[in-house]
Amino acid sequence: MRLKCEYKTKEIPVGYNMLLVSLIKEALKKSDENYFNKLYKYDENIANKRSKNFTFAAYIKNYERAEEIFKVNDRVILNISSPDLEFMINLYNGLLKLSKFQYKTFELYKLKIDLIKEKKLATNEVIFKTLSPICIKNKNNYFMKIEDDKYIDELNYIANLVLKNYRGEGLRENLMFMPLDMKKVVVKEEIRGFKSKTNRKYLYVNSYSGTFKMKGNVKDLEDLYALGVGFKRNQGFGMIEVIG
Amino acid sequence: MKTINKIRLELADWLYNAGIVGVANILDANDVAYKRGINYIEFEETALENFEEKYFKYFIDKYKKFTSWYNIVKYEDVILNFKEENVDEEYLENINKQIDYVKEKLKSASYKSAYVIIQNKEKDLLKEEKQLNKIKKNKKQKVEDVLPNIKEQLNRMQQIIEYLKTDEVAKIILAKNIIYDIIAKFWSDVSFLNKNNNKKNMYEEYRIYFVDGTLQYIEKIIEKAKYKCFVCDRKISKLSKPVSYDLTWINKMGVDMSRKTSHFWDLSGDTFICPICNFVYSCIPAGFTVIKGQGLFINQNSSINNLIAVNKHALERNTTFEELEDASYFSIVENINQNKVEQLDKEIENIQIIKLDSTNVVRPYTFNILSKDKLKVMNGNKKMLQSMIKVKVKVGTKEYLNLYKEVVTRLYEGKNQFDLINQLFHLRLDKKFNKLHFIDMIIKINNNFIGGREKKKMVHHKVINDCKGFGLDLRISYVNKKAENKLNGISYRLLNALKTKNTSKFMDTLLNAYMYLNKQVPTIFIEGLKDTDKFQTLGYAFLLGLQGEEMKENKKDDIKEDMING
Repeated sequence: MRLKCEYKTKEIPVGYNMLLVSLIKEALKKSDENYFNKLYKYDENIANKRSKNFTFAAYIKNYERAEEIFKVNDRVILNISSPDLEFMINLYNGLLKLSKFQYKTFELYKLKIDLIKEKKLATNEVIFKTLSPICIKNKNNYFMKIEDDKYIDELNYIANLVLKNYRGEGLRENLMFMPLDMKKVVVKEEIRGFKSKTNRKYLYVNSYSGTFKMKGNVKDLEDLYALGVGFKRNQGFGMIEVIG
Repeated sequence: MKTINKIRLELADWLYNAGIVGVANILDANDVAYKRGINYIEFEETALENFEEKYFKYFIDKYKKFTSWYNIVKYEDVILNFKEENVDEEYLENINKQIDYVKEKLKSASYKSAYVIIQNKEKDLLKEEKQLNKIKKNKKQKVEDVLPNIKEQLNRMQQIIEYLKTDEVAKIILAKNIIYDIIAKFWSDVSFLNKNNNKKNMYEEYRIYFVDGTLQYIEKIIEKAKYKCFVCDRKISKLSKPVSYDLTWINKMGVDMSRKTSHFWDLSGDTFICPICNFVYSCIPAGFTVIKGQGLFINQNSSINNLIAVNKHALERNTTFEELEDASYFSIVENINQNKVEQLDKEIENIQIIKLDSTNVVRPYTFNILSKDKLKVMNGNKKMLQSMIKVKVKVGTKEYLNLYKEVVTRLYEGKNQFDLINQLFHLRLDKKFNKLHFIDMIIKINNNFIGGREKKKMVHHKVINDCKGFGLDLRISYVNKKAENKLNGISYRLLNALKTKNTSKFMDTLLNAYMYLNKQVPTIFIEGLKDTDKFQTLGYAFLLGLQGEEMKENKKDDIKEDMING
């Protein structure tokens, strides 16, 4: 299931992913606090790091860059995808309630919410394009380059984990990943925890966007299409769309 | 002084039990006293005196109104009330129809074979048949012109009827009717059903084959005899008639041991029965209740009293087999009701229901098990079920669906009702069905049924009502928004999603529908997402609400039912 939620705002930070994460969390909290706690908290003060069953991507229509912010002339569009119906209902209900959202000095006003039709996958080989960049990390927490031999292995590792957490069953077949036209994107993220630990303002996330071909079990591909690919999917990475 | 022997018949398998019920029914119908134990009946050998008369009397009393004899004789009313001024085209047609019927029956093989037996030769019915003719009227003639002919034919018919009504004639012809319509569905080949005995008196034949053998046998049961009856363990001295019998004559039951013995160990057949059991088996047709070739026997063998009670049926001329079946299920439920509900678990065991379909040559008998769980559901939803008995839904040009039968069949077969609910909704959307409160009932009955199997799969009735409420709210919002025309499309999509148990398609449609109104989706559905049965119950309840207003007026009934099922 895919939701498209449009917001009116004057400006939005360049590292807007955290703003959107905050928006989603706020919506879930508004809709069902228990559900929100179950999803995001492991214990009272410990975050639940289990992978979540959704991914999102933002699209800013008509903007100008001004140093640390984008000036938005038209609107911000938030696309969220998840195969988890419970999540989607809660999210939709929450977003509906949240007609105005405040993040630091930024203010977002809801315009409308729509449901986007998902495409049906029929073959085991599909060409996708990224809606938000794909990020792959290795065991040492380094962002990997797409040329790296181990890139596909790590992609398989995280896909397996994400599927397992969603449906209880990991990958049915190994995934083949063939970049067609992928470009490196560095995403700036301003995260409180990161700042206090490292004393650096931004976390720079190396990721890739563009088009690629993926081959594997059809059901796996279907679920990954809904769940997103790679790491940090719940923070605005890895949302994909079928081309053709 | 001669001692009076007693015969005790103990319950065994369903076939034998049907025989015992048959014996008891025959004795009851003839006011013969016998003892009912917990699991046996016992009577003195004197009860077998004239048993052949009692045997046929029972059948004739029970099925008289279904016989061709009755169809001929009951026309007497019309003849006696004949008035010239009532005669019109329709009346004439009616008479001709009856003449056709009478002629056909009078020259049928079964009547012909009866004439041979009848001693009273006052009338030759075959001659009478030839003289009885349809009333012809050409286009120029008026009804009045053929009046003399009408009178003449009615007069002939009246005479035939009078003859048919004489004691002896009625006794033989009715017996023939009964033999072909009822008894031959259960057994054949022996006694009056043996081809060679076709033209002999059936009363005599029955006595000779079944009763005399039994009486002789009781006189001298040889305790040291070598063999034992396959059913009751009584001793038998020889493996041939009239000391012992086989089971081949019971339709589709026994094995013909004289022709094929390879069913048995060492090729020696051992399914021999004693004359008493042979006699009991001859009464199987009296244990069943038969309507138009379909028979029913309920093997509720917890006690002989129960067994006899649930198989007692009052038949009317127009009783259908379905009605008979329904009535007997209710009598089972009624029987339980007399006991306390707490005792239900201990007292009720699974009950076997045996149906005979004589048109099915290969497998005439079908078996259903009525389990404790199903009985509980039946009992708990008695009122709702009862209200559906006469509800018929048109599904095709000439095809009707009997709602009660559909629901109950599924209950008995241990299936859920979702396919039926889906079908009814489709009919509703095609504007062919509008009794929505029945769908509501079926959803609830089904929910109780599912809960009976697995408690956690059950949805609380309040939740069902809530779901219905959400559906209705959505409808009202669409109506207010002047978008009522969209509701059908939404309903179809929801219906298809429910049919294929596709939760995501259902939620997709639902979300879309709510989004259109800018409204929140009821979270009630989240519970349903975890289990397909729950999901369907909730989904259909929602859909029901979405169909609209008719629901409101039935709310009171729902509450009542809730309390019963609570």
